[in-house]
Amino acid sequence: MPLLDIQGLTHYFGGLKAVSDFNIKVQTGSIHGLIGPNGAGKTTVFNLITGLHVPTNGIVILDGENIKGKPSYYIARKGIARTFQNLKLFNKLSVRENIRVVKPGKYEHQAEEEQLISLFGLTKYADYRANDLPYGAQRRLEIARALSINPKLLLLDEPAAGMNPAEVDSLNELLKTIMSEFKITILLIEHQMRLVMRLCHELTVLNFGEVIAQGTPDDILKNPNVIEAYLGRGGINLRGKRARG
Amino acid sequence: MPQLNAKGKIAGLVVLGILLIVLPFTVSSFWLRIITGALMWVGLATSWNMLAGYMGYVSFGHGAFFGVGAYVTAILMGQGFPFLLALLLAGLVTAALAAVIGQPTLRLQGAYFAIATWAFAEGMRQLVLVLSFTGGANGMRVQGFLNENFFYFVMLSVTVISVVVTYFLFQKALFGLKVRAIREEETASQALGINTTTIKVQVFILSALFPGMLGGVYAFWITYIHPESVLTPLIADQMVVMALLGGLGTILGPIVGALVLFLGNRMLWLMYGDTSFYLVLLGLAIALVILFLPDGLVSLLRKRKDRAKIKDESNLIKETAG
Repeated sequence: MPLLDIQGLTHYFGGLKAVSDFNIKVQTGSIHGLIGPNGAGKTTVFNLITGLHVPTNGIVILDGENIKGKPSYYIARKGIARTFQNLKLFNKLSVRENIRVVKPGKYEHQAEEEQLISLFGLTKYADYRANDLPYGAQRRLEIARALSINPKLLLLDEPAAGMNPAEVDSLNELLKTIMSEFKITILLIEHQMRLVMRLCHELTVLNFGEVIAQGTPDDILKNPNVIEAYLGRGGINLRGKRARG
Repeated sequence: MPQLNAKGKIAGLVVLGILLIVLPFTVSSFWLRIITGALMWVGLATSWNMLAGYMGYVSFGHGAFFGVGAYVTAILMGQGFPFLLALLLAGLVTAALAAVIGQPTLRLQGAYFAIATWAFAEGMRQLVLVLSFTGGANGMRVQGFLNENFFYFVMLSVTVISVVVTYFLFQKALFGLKVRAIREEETASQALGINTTTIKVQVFILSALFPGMLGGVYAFWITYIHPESVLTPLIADQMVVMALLGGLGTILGPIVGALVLFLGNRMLWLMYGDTSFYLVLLGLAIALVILFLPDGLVSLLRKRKDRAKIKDESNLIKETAG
């Protein structure tokens, strides 16, 4: 049984169709990529999964339970954590407080807190305010905070945004470590193909709110619909030689 | 400025406690009334700060809770209830009212929440004006009790409790951390498992309970209440400016702000008689905060602390490097 099974997910914002008949099966223990051009509806899918909006149609099944229409905090407690594309850190709270405030249950978890902080390379910033951190550390804190709630499924929304290739590589390593240490499943929105191709077991490609392809990274690379969505139907001029998509 | 360690702070609090207890027996009744009034505003500003400073929900309707507490107390005492029982019931009624009003208003954000709470308070005032058992525009009288010390201690108790609750629940406890997380990023808080709806209503109730009780004490103390004195928007306005001037989201902020503005008002009144200049003072306070001190007067204290810390650290570096 897949950890996350979404069927027929559709959502309208007024008259605008944002997501149409979205289907996905995320297998437990895998990293599943959700890719597509900007504006395709990827973050909307995340918002629908986590209960920010109630979907117009469709069902969202987490570990056998239909969580569609449930409040956000309930969905989080059932095991889905997320990060935000534009960072939504608790700015005036310290790194430690950011991690501590979302932790479920009674406060006895100081050791776990420290482990998480050091795993993400945030030890020297532990008592600094979140908005005083350098950008890379802020992105790492965003992920660390999500892991703090012990989720089964982690939704990462463009974790590598604004990172240079070296930073992307360390993020790659960090995510691999997280996968093995935390026995977790990841659904990843990302534009950086370096990360997506190396990490993801499976990909779902979205365009204009609809799924245009599903499969392994190799399958997707060869799929003409995907190439057209990213590169357009016309040819590309490469040093005078005309290439075809 | 010398740093106080934990022992120093506790010693300071004990001294303060002793001073506060001894005070009524050492000053004239004139000054005692002024101090009692100051205590009331400290309590009001502190309560408002729970909702606005710590949780970021700026309410302009909190004067209504003060007024409702005053009227409930006056009505009950008119029916023969003893003061302390009436006071407790006034607190309960205000808390219940907040639970009801909180449901619709807390769904709103920012300015809309401010407007909705303001509208609720105005609605309350209009209601009291037309109801018969509240005396309408003529207000209500409460049987007097001439003992300034008594009122001082009751006002002091309610205010101290509100400050203690702010400290232990909002500053120290995990609950307070969640409240602040809601202030920072409500969506992210929800998405990461915090039940924001419940916490918001709880904070709203707490922030209304104390003004309700302070209103009850006011009714018995002043012995005459009417819509213009206990349900005027000026009450909420003052709560707002006092907390803003002192520093939102801190323990000391509302205390400092309330003392500065209330005592400032009384000084003006002493020097120039009954004037409206106080309103100008409130406006100036807002301008001061916006232009120079967005974090309030207590931020001046923090800046000195930080500068001292940076100086210590740079001295340390010089010593270890040299």
